[in-house]
Amino acid sequence: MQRNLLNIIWLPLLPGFASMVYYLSLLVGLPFIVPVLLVVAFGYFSYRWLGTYVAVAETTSLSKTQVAWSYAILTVGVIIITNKSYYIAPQYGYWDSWTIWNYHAKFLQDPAYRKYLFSLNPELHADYPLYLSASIAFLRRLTGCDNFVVPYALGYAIQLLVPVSIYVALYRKNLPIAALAFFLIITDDFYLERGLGQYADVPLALFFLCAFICIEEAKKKPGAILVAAALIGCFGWVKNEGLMLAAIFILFNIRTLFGGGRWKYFLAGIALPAITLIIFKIQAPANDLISGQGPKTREMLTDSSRYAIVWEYLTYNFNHFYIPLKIGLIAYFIFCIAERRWPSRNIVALLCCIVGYCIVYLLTPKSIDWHVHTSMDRVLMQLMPSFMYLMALRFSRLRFSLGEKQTDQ
Amino acid sequence: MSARVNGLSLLLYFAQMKGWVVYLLLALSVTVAAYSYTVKFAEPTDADRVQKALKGTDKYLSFGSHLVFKCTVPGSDLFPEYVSYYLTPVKLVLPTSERDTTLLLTSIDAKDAGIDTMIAHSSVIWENKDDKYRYLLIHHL
Repeated sequence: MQRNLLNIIWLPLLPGFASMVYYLSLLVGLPFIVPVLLVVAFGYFSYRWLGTYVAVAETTSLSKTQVAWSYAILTVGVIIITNKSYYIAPQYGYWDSWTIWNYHAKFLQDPAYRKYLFSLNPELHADYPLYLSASIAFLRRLTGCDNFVVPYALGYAIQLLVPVSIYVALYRKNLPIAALAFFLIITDDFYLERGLGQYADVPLALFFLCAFICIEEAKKKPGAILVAAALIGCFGWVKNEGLMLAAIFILFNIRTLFGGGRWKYFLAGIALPAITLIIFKIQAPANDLISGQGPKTREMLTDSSRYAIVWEYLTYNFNHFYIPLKIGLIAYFIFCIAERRWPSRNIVALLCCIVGYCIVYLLTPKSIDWHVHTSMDRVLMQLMPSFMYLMALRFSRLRFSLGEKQTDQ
Repeated sequence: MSARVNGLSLLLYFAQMKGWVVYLLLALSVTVAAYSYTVKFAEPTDADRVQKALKGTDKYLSFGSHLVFKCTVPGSDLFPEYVSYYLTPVKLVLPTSERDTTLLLTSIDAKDAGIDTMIAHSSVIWENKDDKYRYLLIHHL
């Protein structure tokens, strides 16, 4: 994996590690300095380890014109997103950030209050994982800034990393395609609103995307499996549905993740997130969607009206909020037919994730109309960047004339 | 001309999407966004005002206490929800079915018969006021 891409993937892992270590230190009652030192040590050693065992030298050289273009595109894109964020940013984020992430963070900011987290009103979802909340609490204590700039800056950085990761992963393969994917995301106000509104769907989308990037790169260096495993572990630490995404991801990449002795890397990478999540889940109250299952489950599965509702919202979301994705998918399948090749395994994995969400909606013990209406647009956001990346990866075989030709060394 | 070309080459060499250049760009972007956020929201909102005024309630409500915000501020439909969720971090929690304790916010000049009736049927635990609102924490009898 290229060093600059690895650097970007390393960034979301830092708050991931910090949030886990911080949460565990609260449980054990360690002084704050301990997780701080551990995070610093992790940051330093993991950065060096990645450089040694995962990074590979560039195999493709770019002409000066291409370098200038790639640099200019990235800069312009970052300026656009920075500028747009000023106009879009809500002061306190949206509903989820008030009632869940920032709220839970307050409980984690003081060791004395932590124990109250699990006695919350069920509407406040104390069973939701703590990637965002513990990261915010950690950063607030570290900086001494108990304000809303901390969660905003974290949310902003994460939503910025999504398009930048796609761009940096693809610009050497095909600059116009990388630029197209990059600009489609940064000019998508629906995406920016969710990112700046501090929804946890965007960090989950980033982890999911980075895991796909790592899997693509794992063919070159098996060390990338360790990074992919750490990212997969973080899926469930960000949101509960991340566990479903992790299961589907592992299932579709089982040979790459475990074959040829790579399972050791996988276990090493997933160990800390898995242990932290298990400890958290043992303490946390039961998830309302799971505990709400019962004799009516079968009835819900056979009720055709529920399927109609889910389908209606799914098509509505694709037609209103994910138009580039819809067009991209149609183009992708046409491209596959033209090439006489099957869609990539990971595109099928993403489609399975959509099916998985639909099953969750079908089985929801809450009002299905309300549940689908309030969350489907956001859960699709978790998949959108990965779709964009994988489609762009396939389209990157197309060649456009932009500056001098690429040469393989 | 040659010097210019060499200068450009050097610049492009350093700018070849090296990790530090991307980091620098990202760090600059986050810094500018965070700064612009503080500028955009520099003016204190009603939520900030209420949060400040409510600090004294810490003495009466332990962490995790349930509190209902019943807002009577005119022309602000979103305000009750807004304030309550914003305030939840201040050791006060959310509307629940156990509506035994209520925080009343009322305009300092308002004459509201509904509020007066509610106060008459409750014990006032704590009260505060600023130049705009009156805050009453009441326990229903």
